[in-house]
Amino acid sequence: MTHKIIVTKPGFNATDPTVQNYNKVFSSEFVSPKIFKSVYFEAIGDWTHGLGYPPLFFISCRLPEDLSLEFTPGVDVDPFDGVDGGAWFSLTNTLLQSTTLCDVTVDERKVYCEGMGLSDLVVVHLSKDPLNA
Amino acid sequence: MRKGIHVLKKMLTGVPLLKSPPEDFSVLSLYDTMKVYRRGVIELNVPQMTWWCPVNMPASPGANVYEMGAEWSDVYESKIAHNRGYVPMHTPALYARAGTLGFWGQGTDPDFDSGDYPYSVVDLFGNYLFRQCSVFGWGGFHDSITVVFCDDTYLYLRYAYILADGFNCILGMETDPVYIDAVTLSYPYTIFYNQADEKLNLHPPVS
Repeated sequence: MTHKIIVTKPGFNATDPTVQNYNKVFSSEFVSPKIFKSVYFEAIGDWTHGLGYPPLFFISCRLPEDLSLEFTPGVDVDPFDGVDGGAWFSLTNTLLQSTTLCDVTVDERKVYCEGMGLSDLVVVHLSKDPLNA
Repeated sequence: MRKGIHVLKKMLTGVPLLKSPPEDFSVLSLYDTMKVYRRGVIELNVPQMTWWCPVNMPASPGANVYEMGAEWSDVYESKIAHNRGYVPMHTPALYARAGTLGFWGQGTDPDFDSGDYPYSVVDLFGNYLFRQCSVFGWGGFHDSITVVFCDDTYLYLRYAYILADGFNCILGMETDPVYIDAVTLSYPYTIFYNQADEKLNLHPPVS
């Protein structure tokens, strides 16, 4: 017999087999990302995870508080004015925004930060789950 | 011995539970996971803007009136308090620059017919296209930035716009302002309980 753990949202019965997955707060049938490490990059570099496969990862990056942007020659704008602690972008689509925010890739041995973009801090949240599973 | 909750994706006969690698588990409470705090839609109503050539800029321009090429618009903002007290992981992480190809539809000029003015100015990437205001078809450039980001209190949606000098303006040929239509920006967002800048280490480095 297979056992499982199910927790539903309020108003739903966890023993009801017709409850939709989106009404479950938790189910052991789902694969949850197993995040084990935050890797900090303050400059271009790499870090050895040694998992033997490319892991699933999430990114957060910070733009500095005193960022000065010249979007049009001679005419500046600061879209982050008044934000203390820097503006944070998270779960970034690096394919679209690598030149601006950061450029992060993984392989079976390492995680690489190959570009900081405008960021002064890039945090890579590494999971034990394979990226390509 | 490992403590906590361990749920394998698939029980393999003869493989001891505690010797299975982490990737074989659907749940393994040794590690952190993504936890949704809040979902919703963040919206920003950007008002209609009026852009004047420098020579015709009113002395008292009023709200949402700007001078071409000399300034950006105000930074328009919408924000949602998450009140986590730390920077949460979130989506979308939007940092978009756009001199949009759809600009033709944004300029408000009932008499405008692009077919009458075939000589547009487009940059090498095809990004910037300006409403052609003169029979000579001389144009200019525009740009915008849209960002969605977090600090430790809010999720922000901000937008700013600029209409740079058109050659029409330089030559003093543009006497009417250019109206940029009001627009509502709308983005679904998800805020996680997870901390964006957490220093997490639940496993020793592997060399």
